[in-house]
Amino acid sequence: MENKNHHIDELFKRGTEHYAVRPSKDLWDRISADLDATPVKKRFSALTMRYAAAMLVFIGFFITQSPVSQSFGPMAQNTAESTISTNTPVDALSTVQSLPVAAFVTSPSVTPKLNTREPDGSSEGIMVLAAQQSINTPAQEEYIYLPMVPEDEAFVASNMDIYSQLFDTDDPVEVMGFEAFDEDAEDLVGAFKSAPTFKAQYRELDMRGFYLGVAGSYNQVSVLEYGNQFQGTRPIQPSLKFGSSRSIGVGYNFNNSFGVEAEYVYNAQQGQNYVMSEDDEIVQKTLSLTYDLIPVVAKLKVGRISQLTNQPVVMNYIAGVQYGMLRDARLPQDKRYEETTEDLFKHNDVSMVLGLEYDIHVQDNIIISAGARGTFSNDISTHLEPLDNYAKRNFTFGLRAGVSYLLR
Amino acid sequence: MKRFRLTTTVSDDDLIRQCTKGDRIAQKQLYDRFASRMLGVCLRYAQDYQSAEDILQEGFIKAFRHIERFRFEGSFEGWLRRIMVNTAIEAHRRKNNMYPILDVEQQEVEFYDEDALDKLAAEDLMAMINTLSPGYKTVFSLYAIEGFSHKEIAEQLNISEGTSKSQLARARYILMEMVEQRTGITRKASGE
Repeated sequence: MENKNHHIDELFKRGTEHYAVRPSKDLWDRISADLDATPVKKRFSALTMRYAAAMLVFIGFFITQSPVSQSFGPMAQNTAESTISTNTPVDALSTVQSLPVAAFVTSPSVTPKLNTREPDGSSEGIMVLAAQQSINTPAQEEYIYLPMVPEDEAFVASNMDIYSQLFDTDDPVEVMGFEAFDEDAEDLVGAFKSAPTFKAQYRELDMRGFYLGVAGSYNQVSVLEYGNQFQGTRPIQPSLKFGSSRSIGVGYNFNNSFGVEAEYVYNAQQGQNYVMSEDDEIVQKTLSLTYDLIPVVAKLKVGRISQLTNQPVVMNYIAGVQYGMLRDARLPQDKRYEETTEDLFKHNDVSMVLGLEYDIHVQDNIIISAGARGTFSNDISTHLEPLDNYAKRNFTFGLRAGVSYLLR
Repeated sequence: MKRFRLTTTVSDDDLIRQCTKGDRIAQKQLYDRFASRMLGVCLRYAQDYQSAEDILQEGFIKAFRHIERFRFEGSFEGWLRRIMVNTAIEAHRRKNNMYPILDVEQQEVEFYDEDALDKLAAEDLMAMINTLSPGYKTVFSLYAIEGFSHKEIAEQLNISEGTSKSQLARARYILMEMVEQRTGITRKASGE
């Protein structure tokens, strides 16, 4: 049958293959004008936007769950007013009402004001426990009952009131946090010490220095493409593809809040799966791309001391760029791709990296990390075949875990 | 002193090299050499002449913007032709006007006398192709003229292979009807 049909095909092929028609005279002017214009970037696809939205939700979830907004410690939870769950001293105290209040004081810094009043409106004062403490120095601690100074309707005590009474000095101090505590407790000082202001302690640690690490990740990978087969128009549908990677890395912490890290990720599996109808069967096809990657990221660190291990735990907010080197590319061969497969994709690309990682210090120098990262590349298509305007971008999103060793 | 102007024909390759530098004059010369033939290609896929010119315009812009990717390994015309076909396919996909149709029984007798067919000019054949609906026209052109397989057409147009086959069969049937009407000849059975 094919041979018979070939006859009519051949008739039209032979007859029209070299058919030529002169274009309009002004067509060249339009082409020339377009060539002078800057190409317009394609808008992001709906799929891209969905992934971006998912990432934002994910990041938002971790931000709201981060240690910054957690309570200061068990003392707050042990009281009826466990609403002291903020690191804003004035707000914390204003909710304490009549409960005694402990102030955790370190130096140096700003001038907060302490406000409280009794439920009946009388001014009694607050119980203040102040401690000047760091990881490397013995704690100085005092426990006093601090009378409050009336100021309008509120009762105000400045840090100088506290500090001058406690430590007999004019140095500026920073009140880092407050804990309401049970004044009937037998050992108030001990109770307070067991519930320190974690942020203050973490900040006292010396985390500067280099570290080395290894990590592995497992990602959902996609090639996002606007307007072509991966767009998801029936009957060709994208399907999930997963890929793993391993890496070695080195990083440097400038301080407890900021660090940088570079890694070498080898044999990272990327690409895209899709299903389509072929000979009346649904078949899955795989575009496989293998990369070596060099991500360089900045880390914003928010840490505290774990009550469980008495070691730091740190949430890292990660952002950076990733340089990709294409090592291998395989895809279902079809007529569009007369070029070798590698020629269809850029040998090098750059991605944006965003992520969250939770560091757990298991020993002084050993850190276990676990978290999630997403990457989104620039256009990886060479546009050789098909020479189209459709950008193809690598997108990965997955879990990552690693171990690192602090060199100090 | 009398001045002579030496006129030579610049080769395609030289023009292409000039185009890689963004030379607008070279681009114009290259356009003049290939535009007519490429418009012939575009007309086989477009719904009308204006759409064909739009495809031609977009195709040439792509070609000039990416001309450094031509490697001088095959013919430039073949490279340019593929760009035009791909651009036409993209345009087709944007319009998404692939009409699913019922399968048409394949014709058992489809041979013509060669001499009778010679009466058909390219314009006649193009006119016949242009009467086809966009879906038929695209599938027929990709299969019969560009040599794509049904699998490749299915992937390009985001349709199933079955749809590609049935559209091709329908397009062939319509074209054969028109050939008969135009030439006044009828098909003869394969065994005749």
